[in-house]
Amino acid sequence: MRKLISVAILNFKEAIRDKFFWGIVFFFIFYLLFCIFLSKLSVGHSDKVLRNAGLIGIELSAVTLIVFAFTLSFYRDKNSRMTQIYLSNFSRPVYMSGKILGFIALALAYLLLAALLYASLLYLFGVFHPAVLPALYPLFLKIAIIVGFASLFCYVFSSSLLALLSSLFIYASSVLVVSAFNIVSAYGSSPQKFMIRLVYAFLPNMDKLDIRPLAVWGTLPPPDYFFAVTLYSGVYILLLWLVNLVVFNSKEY
Amino acid sequence: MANQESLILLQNIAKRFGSAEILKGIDLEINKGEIFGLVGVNGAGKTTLMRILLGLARCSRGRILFNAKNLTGRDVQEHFGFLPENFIPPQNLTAREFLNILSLGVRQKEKNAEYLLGLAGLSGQENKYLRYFSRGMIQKFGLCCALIKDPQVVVLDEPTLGLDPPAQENFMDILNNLRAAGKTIFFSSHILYHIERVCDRIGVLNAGKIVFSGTCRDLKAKHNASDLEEAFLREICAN
Repeated sequence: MRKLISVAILNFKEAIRDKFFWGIVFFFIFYLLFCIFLSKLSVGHSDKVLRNAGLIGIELSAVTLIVFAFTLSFYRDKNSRMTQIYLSNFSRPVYMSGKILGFIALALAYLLLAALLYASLLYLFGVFHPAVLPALYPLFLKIAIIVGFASLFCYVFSSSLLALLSSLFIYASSVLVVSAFNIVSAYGSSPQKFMIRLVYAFLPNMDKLDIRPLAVWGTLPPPDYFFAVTLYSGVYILLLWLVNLVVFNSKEY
Repeated sequence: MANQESLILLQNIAKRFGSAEILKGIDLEINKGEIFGLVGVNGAGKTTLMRILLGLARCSRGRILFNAKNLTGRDVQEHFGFLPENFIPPQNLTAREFLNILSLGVRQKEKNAEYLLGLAGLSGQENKYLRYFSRGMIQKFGLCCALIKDPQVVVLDEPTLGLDPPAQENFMDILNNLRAAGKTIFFSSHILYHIERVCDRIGVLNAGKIVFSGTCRDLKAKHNASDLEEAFLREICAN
């Protein structure tokens, strides 16, 4: 456990002090300012627009941060031979798990910081509703799953660009697949339905981890929901971790 | 001086990348408490051999014994320290932070960051961010990382790369001190003067084969050469 924590702290500290992390934070601040402007254009629903746009901004900026930061960190370690130093001190499962854990901690730190900025803005404009904060928990689970995919693609591809694009593609497709699923379920042929069900089962069900529409209107799902999504994400991350382990063990550094 | 107790034994190590065989059946013995130098031209397979020894790469055939038993990943993590060639440490951590966090994972209690940095000639640089370190300072810092768990074996790949002449001399003194402390050192270098100065025995690697293994004096005597460089070149040309 000490080894795992050691790798996680090294990765977390290195990433949180990186210019990229603070670049994303400043981008998010500018985005929030843009949200104020956007809410002014929405007569009658400015409170909901401000809440909704803020939550979308948190999700997109967190995904960008994690995918880029993880991929850049992995390839920097590889090219600077830091991976060799780590692997001469720690076993492969420990190094891999520590890195994932470090970046999940980074996601959590970013979400807390972004939530603080977001909640302050809502409070300042008198549109704060407590329901928006629990909405960040499923969002955190989404990001944790994306960390697992970013890690996997880094081990699979020797090109950082391919790893980066693949991680972003997985995120985009797992968000959009539900629309395709609904359309094909209604109008598709049997083979199409089978295919889309297969893809939907394989990809992380990001639609299930999205309670933004409810939170914006000031409502929340029942407590069972939070237990269910935690269980689903935990199992999904565990499976991803096992795949990561198999792929990482087959690689040479 | 080295005693003759074998610590690491490489037997018939081969490595293939696609159709190219980089290592062609390496047999090598490294004794406990000695400094063993690995020399060879660029692309001879020195780094690949070190990576195989450390479990970073797999060999196509052969085996490695450590203390007369098959070398395991746990052996490497507990008893081997490694400084890779051209290593660059994390940029956003200080020297002290990095060593302290790393030592948390390797359970090193006796030797702290200050001690190691002092040993490598980096006293006073504890709180400096690693991005401000020069190439020479990075190499010295790499040695601290290799020694963080007080390993039995220290593997160094071109450790004097980027060091100025006084720093190179200092580095050789450190290696001598480590040998005096009972460490076994396995290192590669292109600077044959260093090899001759500190190594108890050397191995000459050429085109994936160990073409000579013995003392520097033996190699010079074999080719009736006045210095190691001349002997090395003759050995390479002969094979």
